[in-house]
Amino acid sequence: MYLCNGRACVVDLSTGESSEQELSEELLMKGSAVRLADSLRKEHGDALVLGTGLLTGSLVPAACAGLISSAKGTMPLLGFAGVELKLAGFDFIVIKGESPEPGYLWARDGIVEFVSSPAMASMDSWERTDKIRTDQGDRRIQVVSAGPWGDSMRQASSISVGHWLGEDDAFMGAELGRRKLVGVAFRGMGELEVSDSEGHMTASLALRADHASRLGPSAGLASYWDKARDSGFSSLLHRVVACFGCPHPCRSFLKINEDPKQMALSAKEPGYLHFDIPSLDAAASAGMGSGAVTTAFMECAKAGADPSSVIGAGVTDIAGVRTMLATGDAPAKARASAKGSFRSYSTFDDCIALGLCPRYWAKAGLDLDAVSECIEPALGRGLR
Amino acid sequence: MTVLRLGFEPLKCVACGLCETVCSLNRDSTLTPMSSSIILHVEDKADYFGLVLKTQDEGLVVARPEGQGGEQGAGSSGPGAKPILLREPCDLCGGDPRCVKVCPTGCITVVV
Repeated sequence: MYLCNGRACVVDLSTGESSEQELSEELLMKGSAVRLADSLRKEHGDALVLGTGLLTGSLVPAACAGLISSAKGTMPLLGFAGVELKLAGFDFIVIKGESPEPGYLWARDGIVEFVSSPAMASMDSWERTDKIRTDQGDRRIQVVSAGPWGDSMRQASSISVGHWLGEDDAFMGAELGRRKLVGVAFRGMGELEVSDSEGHMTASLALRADHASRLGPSAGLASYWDKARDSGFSSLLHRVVACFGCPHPCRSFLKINEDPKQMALSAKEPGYLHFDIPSLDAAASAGMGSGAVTTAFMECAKAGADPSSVIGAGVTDIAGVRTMLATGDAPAKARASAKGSFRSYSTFDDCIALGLCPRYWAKAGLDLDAVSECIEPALGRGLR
Repeated sequence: MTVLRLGFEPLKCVACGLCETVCSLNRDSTLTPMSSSIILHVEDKADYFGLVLKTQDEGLVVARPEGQGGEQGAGSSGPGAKPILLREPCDLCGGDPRCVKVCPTGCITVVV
């Protein structure tokens, strides 16, 4: 089966049992991962579902998106999470029930296991990510976690992917917390078959070149958010970082704990990777400068708290953020419709269904016919 | 005879991972970073990333953000991944390297 694994893993945390569920080629080739995730969720009793799109991991530009879906909604998983999940051997992971003790799911090589780890319940989400990577011996393991706010099921608990927040407008953190999951980890060591690899690469590069001629040079987050051109932001810029396969990245890393021009590996936690436009806008409205925002986002990410909700609750400085994170609860601030949020793009649903980044494709202009031509050599068939 | 090799400008890298994904296409019709001769080295929390290439003649070429150099016995995306020293060395895809074609920033080039 091209570009897919043809199977989901169903894990029941309550019983500790897992099984594989075959997914037909016909079902997967529809390119409707959101609907399929919703169907799996309902079939397995209000499960939490992680999944990938048909094109996730392909050479189509910015084919990086996976998803996580619960009764609260569906949010994208960006960075390398989608492609690593698919290369771990599953198109979807379905998580049922509640674990009797804290632990994480660890998926790789077509295997999913529950790793009991009560000690991780007292850790923040960065510590969890770091510990899972250390314990499993691979620093590129992708970890979806929620931190203490997720554990205590606070309203504005937010899932981070690796160390970074910003995609969770469904406030999914509590979904992990109520299942006593400190994280879901996966690493892709498999492979995706394609029908005509040269044809797929040639078509993908042609489409990318067409986009590049219209988009111009990439400037990281500044290509998508004008305030990133301000001197306060740009003076802290270290490097621009892409999600898998993205030629026009929206992620800019700001260094605050060492010289942004420092290129050698030095500080362990030098700053934060910014791409969460709604939260950055909220912070700008509150009068927070780029350095304070970066500190605030680092601390929100560790706690598993949505920065736009924390700042939107009336916080205007880092002391207020810390007080809120330690003692408070912020009402979940509607961010789905906020300007610059992933879901605010009109083609969000189509993109997530296929495994494409909504932000890149909103800028490049989603043309499903062009995408279909690009993917036809890989699949041996078009999208429609 | 003209000798080709790959050159790197590591600061142009954005860690998109395309180079390590298409490397496998030279050997079979699969997309996977696990059999590639080039891998991305990432320390994401520190925003430190670069490329490691296994070559025929120069051992490992390590393109760090602070500069490029050769190094033996290092360069893996982690012990859990297939170590690069166990992989096939780069053969430049027979003279038309796919990683160069697919790199969106010009970080990887063919050097004569």
